Amino acid sequence: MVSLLLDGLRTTFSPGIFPFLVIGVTGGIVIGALPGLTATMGVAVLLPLTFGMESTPALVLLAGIYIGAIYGGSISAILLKTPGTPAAAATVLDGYELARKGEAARALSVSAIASFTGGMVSTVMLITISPILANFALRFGAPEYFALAVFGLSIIASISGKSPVKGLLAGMFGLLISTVGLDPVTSFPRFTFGEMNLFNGFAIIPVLIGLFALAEAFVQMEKIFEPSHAIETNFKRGMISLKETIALMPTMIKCALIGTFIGSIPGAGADIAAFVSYNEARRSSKNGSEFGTGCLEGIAAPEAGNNGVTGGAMVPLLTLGVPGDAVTAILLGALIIQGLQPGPLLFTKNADIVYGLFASLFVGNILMLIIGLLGVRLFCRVVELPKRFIIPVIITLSMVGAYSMNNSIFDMWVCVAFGVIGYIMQKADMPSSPIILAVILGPMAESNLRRAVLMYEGSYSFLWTRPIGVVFLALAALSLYSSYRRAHSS
Amino acid sequence: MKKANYCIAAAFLLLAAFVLYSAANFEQTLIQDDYVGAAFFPELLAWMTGGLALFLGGLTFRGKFDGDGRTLSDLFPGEIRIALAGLAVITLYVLSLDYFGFILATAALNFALLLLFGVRNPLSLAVFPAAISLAVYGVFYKLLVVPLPEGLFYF
Repeated sequence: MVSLLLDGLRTTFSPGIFPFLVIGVTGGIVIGALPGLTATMGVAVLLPLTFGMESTPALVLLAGIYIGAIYGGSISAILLKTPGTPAAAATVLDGYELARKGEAARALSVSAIASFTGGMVSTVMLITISPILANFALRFGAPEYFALAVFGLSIIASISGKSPVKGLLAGMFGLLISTVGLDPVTSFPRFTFGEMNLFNGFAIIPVLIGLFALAEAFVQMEKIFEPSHAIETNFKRGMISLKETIALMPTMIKCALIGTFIGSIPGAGADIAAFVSYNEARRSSKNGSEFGTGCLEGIAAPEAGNNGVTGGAMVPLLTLGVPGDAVTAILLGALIIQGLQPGPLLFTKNADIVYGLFASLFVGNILMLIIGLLGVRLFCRVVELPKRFIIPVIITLSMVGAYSMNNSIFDMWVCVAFGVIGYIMQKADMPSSPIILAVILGPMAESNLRRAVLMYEGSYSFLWTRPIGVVFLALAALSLYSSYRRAHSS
Repeated sequence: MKKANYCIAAAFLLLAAFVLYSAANFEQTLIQDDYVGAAFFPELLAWMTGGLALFLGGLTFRGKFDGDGRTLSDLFPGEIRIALAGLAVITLYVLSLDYFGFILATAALNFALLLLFGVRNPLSLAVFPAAISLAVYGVFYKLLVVPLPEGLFYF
């Protein structure tokens, strides 16, 4: 493993890879810093850039955007009281208060250091846990994969906020979309209406760009004439000292571990990790009463927690082929586009790419720290970029992305249609992420379910006679129940 | 929000009914279809979708769902016209790509969006659309060799 990791580091620092990592991390920070542009949207919009690339630089670029954007979200949270990404919502509580006191540079530097710590801890966990889990997953057959897909789909309820029923309906819609095209077993055309472009089903990229990027662009258009609430950036005091950093280290490491654990549970993303970390830090801190008034721990905890998710969310993605959250769902799409099949065999067939990705996460986090600390003043200007110039760029990139996957104007129409669907869903408080999750996991669930039923000659006894499958189905039931209880109590 | 929830429930019931109707016409092509044919999974999903839609309607009817007091006019304010105009511009853009090609159509798209968003500075209106169009063309088509739509003028 060590030699594979060293090879990965060599690959990461090669001239053909390293510039993409720098571009990815920097671009991710800028995207994350812009209010309204999430990490999911950034990865979705820039995914088409990778179509013409080799696998390793493509994945390195996207991973760089991911880790950069999660950190970048804290910049606008601290300076504008507007989290750039949902993951930075908890950072607003103390970050903005500290910035108002004229200590914006201190707040931003704590955020960068905590994000770095979170990212590094989670990458170490990813490297150590993933191969073990991948080895275990080699025992899976069709019934286990079906149960795993159901478990993956059950997280829809937990990412649906206060409306699990609407989230489940969105998931059903996604599953129905995944059945469009030729039947995987009999090749019978389903719901194609004689349209040749639908014989292979809906391409995932136009669907996800439409749902995440174009829909968000429509929402932002409505707010185009709303005034900005930026505070005057003040740098009265510089960055935090080494002594303060050391004092914050136990909190950061603890919250990074919390974030990694939460990230590795499919469905629990960076936003949940940030709030859980914040609450835990406040509960265990001697200065709990100072939280919410501009306390350094109140910035370090959520930032270490949300960046801890980046490595954690890749554990189920790489080992089981199940995305941990919306961003990793897009990364799953990117892996498939590159001709790679996420899952246990990825570690044996494409170990060079996997360990190249691990190494790039290490280096990417270091880059994020350097760029984050050096670019504090510059990023303060980024948040002031006017939306009226950003939205046309997003729309242009969305259209290019939808087209370039299959060189198809039809895919552009699909993107526009799903943009409208995503926009209406946002209005109706329906989450879009379940659709993507279901479109990705739908074929896995269907083909393995049908295979399992055929294996058992029409019997469904595999649902309760295969131990691993039973565990996954029980976890799925638990996930649905806890989501229902949470929504009911709130 | 109540009306919106009823609309969602009705839309999903219609979708479920459509899927069941369509799936009923799927032909059996293999002997193994006795167990699980092409219609098996869509039909299963349609029944679950219908059940969930009824559940949502029931919860809304009993007042146990989304009592946030928002009305349809809150969900769709006057500013929606900007989003609809944006959608119209994008639709025209996709329609025009086959004729005008990527560079011209994209410049026109950006120009129209800037006008829609209230930009009136002639320099911005002239430079920004051209720069974005050429930059995206350069990066995707020239640098990364990603194909882009070609119109009657081959660019």
